[in-house]
Amino acid sequence: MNAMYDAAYHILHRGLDASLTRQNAISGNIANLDTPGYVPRDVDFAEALKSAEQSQSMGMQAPPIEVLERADKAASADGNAVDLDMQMARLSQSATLYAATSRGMTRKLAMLRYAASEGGM
Amino acid sequence: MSFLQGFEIAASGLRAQRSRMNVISSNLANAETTRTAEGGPYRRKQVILRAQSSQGFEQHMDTAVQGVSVEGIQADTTSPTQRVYDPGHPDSDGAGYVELPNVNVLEEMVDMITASRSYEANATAFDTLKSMAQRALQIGG
Repeated sequence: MNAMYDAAYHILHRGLDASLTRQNAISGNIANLDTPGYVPRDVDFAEALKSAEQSQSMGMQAPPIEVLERADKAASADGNAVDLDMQMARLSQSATLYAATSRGMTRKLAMLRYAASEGGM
Repeated sequence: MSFLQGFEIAASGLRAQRSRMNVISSNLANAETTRTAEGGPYRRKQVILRAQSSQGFEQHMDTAVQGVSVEGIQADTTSPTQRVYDPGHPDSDGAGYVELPNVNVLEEMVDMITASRSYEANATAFDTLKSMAQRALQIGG
């Protein structure tokens, strides 16, 4: 860690990464809506942030974001466990979180820019 | 993990649903076909889908994010063909029965709605990802 890119910067960075990974996992679940035997995947967002925070406080690099299997419902006759409504809800949830985090990142960088230009913008 | 991968996954879903749609169209078009290259009436076709990890993906392969691919298109040879009494038909047998395809039009219509809804879901996933990518481009702006 250095003074310019502090803990807040790293957490925002991790948040963007985790939302994107989650979004890709949800896209995969929707693509496999009709694939027999498919179990949907998800990312534990809170866990991804926590693991980054811990490794950061120890001065280590953050571990990769984990994609885990998580069934939405009991598997139907063909073994598929994807629930479309649930996936669509998560899709917009994680997109909103991404938008919020990216706004946070913009503000953070604006502060750095403000300092770098000696308050002149 | 990049945006391109998500786009690819959503596109694989769109492709899979589109080929399902093509096969359903073919089944409906041939619902009354009595002559085929293999001989006998037309057989209902089905798309076989398989979950597939996208190429160059570095994370744990067993739980990794997966797209979908069309494994193949197979004819349904188990469900029985329909036998309809129509002695005037050129393809009727000695007893006056014609063998018609094992296509159930009602079933195909239901499949068609499912495919169309799944296509929409994939298109929405693509759209959402696109707006995220645009949001990312605005960082620092």
